[in-house]
Amino acid sequence: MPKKSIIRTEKLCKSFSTGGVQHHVIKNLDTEIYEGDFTVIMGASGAGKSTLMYALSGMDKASLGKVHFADRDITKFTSDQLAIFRRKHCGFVFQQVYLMDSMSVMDNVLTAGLLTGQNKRELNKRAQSLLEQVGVGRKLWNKFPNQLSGGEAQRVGIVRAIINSPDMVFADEPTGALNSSSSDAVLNVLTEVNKQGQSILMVTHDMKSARRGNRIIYFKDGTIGGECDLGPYVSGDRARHDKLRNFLSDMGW
Amino acid sequence: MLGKLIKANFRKDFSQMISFLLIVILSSTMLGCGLTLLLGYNDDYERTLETNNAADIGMHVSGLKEYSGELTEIERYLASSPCVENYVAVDGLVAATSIDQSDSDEDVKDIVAAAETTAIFAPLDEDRDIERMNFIEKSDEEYDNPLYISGYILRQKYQNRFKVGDDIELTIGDHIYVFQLAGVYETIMAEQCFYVTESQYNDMVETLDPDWKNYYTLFLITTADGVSDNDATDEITEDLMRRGYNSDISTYTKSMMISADMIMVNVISAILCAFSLLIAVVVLIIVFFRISNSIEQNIVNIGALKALGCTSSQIRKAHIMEFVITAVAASLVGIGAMYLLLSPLGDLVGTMTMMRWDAHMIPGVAILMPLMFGVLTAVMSSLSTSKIKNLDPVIALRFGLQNHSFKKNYLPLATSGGPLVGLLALKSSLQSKKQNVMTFVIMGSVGLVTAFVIFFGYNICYKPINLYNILQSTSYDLMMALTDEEAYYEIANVDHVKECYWRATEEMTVAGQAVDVTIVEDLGSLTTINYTEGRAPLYSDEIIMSATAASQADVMVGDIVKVSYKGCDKELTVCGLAQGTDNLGKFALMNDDCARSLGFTAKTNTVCVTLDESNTDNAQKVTDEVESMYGDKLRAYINIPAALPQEPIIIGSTAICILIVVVTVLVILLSMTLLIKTVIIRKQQEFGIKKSLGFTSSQLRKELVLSMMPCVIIGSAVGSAIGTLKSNSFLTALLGSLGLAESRLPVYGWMGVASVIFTTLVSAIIIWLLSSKIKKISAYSLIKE
Repeated sequence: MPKKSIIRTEKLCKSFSTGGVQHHVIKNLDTEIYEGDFTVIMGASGAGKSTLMYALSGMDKASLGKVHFADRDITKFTSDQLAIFRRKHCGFVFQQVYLMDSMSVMDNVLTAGLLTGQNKRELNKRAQSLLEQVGVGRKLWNKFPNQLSGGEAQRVGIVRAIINSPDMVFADEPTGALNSSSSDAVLNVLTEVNKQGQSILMVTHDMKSARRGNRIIYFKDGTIGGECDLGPYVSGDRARHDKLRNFLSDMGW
Repeated sequence: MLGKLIKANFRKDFSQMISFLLIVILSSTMLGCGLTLLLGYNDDYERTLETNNAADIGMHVSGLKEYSGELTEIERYLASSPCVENYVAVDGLVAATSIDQSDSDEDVKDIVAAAETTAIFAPLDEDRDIERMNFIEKSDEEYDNPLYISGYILRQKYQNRFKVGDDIELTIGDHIYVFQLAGVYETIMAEQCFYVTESQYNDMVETLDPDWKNYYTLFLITTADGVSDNDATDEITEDLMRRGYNSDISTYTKSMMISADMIMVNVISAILCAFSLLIAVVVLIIVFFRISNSIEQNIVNIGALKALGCTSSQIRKAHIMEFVITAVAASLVGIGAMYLLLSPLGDLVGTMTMMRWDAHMIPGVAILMPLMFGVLTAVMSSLSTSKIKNLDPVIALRFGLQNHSFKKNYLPLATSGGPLVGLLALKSSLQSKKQNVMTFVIMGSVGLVTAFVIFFGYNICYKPINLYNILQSTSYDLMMALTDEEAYYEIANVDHVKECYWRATEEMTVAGQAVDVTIVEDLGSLTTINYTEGRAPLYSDEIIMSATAASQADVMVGDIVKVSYKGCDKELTVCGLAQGTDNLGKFALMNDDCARSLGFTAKTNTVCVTLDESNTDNAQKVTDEVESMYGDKLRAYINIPAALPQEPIIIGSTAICILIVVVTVLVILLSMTLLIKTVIIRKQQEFGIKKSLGFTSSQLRKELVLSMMPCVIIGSAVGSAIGTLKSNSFLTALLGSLGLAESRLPVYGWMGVASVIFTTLVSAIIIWLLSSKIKKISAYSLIKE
């Protein structure tokens, strides 16, 4: 059965002007991101992979071209329309976590949920269940972000991103600021969530993290340099690891 | 190094420093104007008095022809009186004039309108040594009919319509006189005189019909060494009365004139100084919190600077100097702004006082203000930066300041009901203690001032009759002069008349003081006496004294005082004290039977009317009705509700109210700008995160406005409540020197409510407008950082 496209770009361009010099970060990009996939965007530092991810999510505006997200051209949206769109369709996981430091763990999660007008009782149950699922126990729910470890905070960030069951979770180097064991825990959560059907688009420059994806896009010179289909993640699958390594090597990684 | 740190701070805080600069400019301009007015006007006034060799006493004698026997007797008395050092007599005539104004449709019976056109003509005497003719402007040209008037008359009566050299056409009866304005003089004690040439004066004396003129002599007196003008006046008045001179004599002293002139100046300067100091307090609080927030935001940088070897003192100095330099620069700009405002301020003061004031910069004020703002800002910023002293660089770099570790989860979303934006706003409000304190102080100050302005505006600008009522010993809405002494019986039955009584006024000596005594038939029947203590006279040997006169004579209710009138002495019991500004608070009230026992027979043809509802229309209706009843027997009237809005004190007060409202809005704007910018910078990341979650700019702006509203409302309510409750006390302090013992102007609950609504609405609008910066914060900028 062919995969259903959830994000599709048409001649997507993104450029910046620095000191009067134009930098074309994304050049006439035509691509699709599919429902249920764990898509990973990789690339060299400064290649523009994060720029691509935020252009696809509507967080950043495209300079030219179109982005069709859930069958809507989001490049025509105003800032407020994009914000309202993000509530139901997007979830974000940031490298620096960005939990609201004045709010408790539970409030951070519920704020995102309440924005969509969900029933508070049901939302509360779902938040509790998700938090338990990612290993953030009840005793932490009333804590503030500065009382959590980095790993705990990022897992809360993931729950916040998926609380509204968005069409796509965008994860920007979610393990970039974490130690190894915390990284594994966070990646396990993302993998588990993906297995439950959640589409994920993750940007990373870490091979270990990239291995969790089933589709790897290598972004290079403002366009897609190559793609690699790894298939579903299986822990300890050596062949998968080698395939990714070879692909990256071909891409000049 | 320090210079670089200061520069870096300026670059970082540029927009906040602009708001800080503007608010200090506003405060220093107002303070500068207030202080210049307070100090400069007094000095200039004193100098003018000295230059003119101002008379200590002005004694007006009406109705006596030059060289009449009585006038000669009075002169003889003055020449021999030990209280008098010297005197000059200015003989003149009072004439009802109308100036050539084609648009004038004045009612000739309206005393206020008529007063505008009453002139005292006197021959010019440039050589007199007392109350010298001090010309502000004088033409060198020779005119056929030169006329010299005071700057006060030019401003007050003719609104500066004429310039030296202009023709002024005055009609007196059936005579038309064309004068040329040849000079404008300045004097305190003889400002009402129109000086003409001797020949012109003699011509007027001879040719004017007796119906249109009245003889008048002004004695300008200097007192002997060691004798105060008030004591000399009391003695002269008593002596002349004892000698039985029946002519209309009224005296006023230099100190009375100065008090009358100073009151408005003092009120304006007190309000300007008080309000600017209030702004300065707000400014200092803002400085404290701004620096405190800046340290929290830049704690990592501060840690890095310490790690690099910067001392705490250097880092603190950079913060302190940033604000001190701005404060001093702003106060210097404020001095410049004040300099530009001095001329209009001088004009405003000139319209309300006898003396034209060429306001000029006072060096002391120019030096004091930057010094004051600099030192106060240094002290406040020094206190605010003290936390840098004990900051460990490692802790700063790793954890920042610990005061952002939220400990209590207010209103958990899982269990709290209500709309999300409202809940988040309330949570934010409960967590922002410093911001709350700052908002509370700003809004408290603003609420206090606004409540006072509403009270002041309502009672003095909108319903000036209220102020008039507390300033008069016996207030009324209409005063009518009739030729029929029985008229008051019938007038009492006219529609809208609540109270009607006749009154007469005579100067008497009470407890050794010359006071104006108001005589009515029965003071007990009047509801309009402003008692501060005691009651109305029940017996013919009782008198009500003014609180001011009683205080000066050290008399209390129940004491017996000696009252003298034209050789007749009587001991009366003080049964009550009243307040009022008649004769600058030196007055007394007695019943007709008491006055008769002193040998005074009152004429009952001056009728005072209090209306059931005081307004111009009702007053006019009553006047029209009385006119239809008595025709020409109604000689003149004063419609108080109509006349009051034209009074300089009302015009000046209205100007002050408008100024304060404008400044209040500016203070809210500038202080809120500083506050909101600080809040937005502090919450920039949170706004970015929320935008990434799907919050719209509008939701975030609403959240910000709502989060500040509890403190805005509470601060405003507390300030407004204090302002409303203490308004009368403040007004008493302002007008105390005028003879007001206790202000009892109506205070209504709606004044406080209106103040809260006004300040809250203005604040909400300003915060909403300022919060538009949130629109520029994008979720993407959060990631880019």
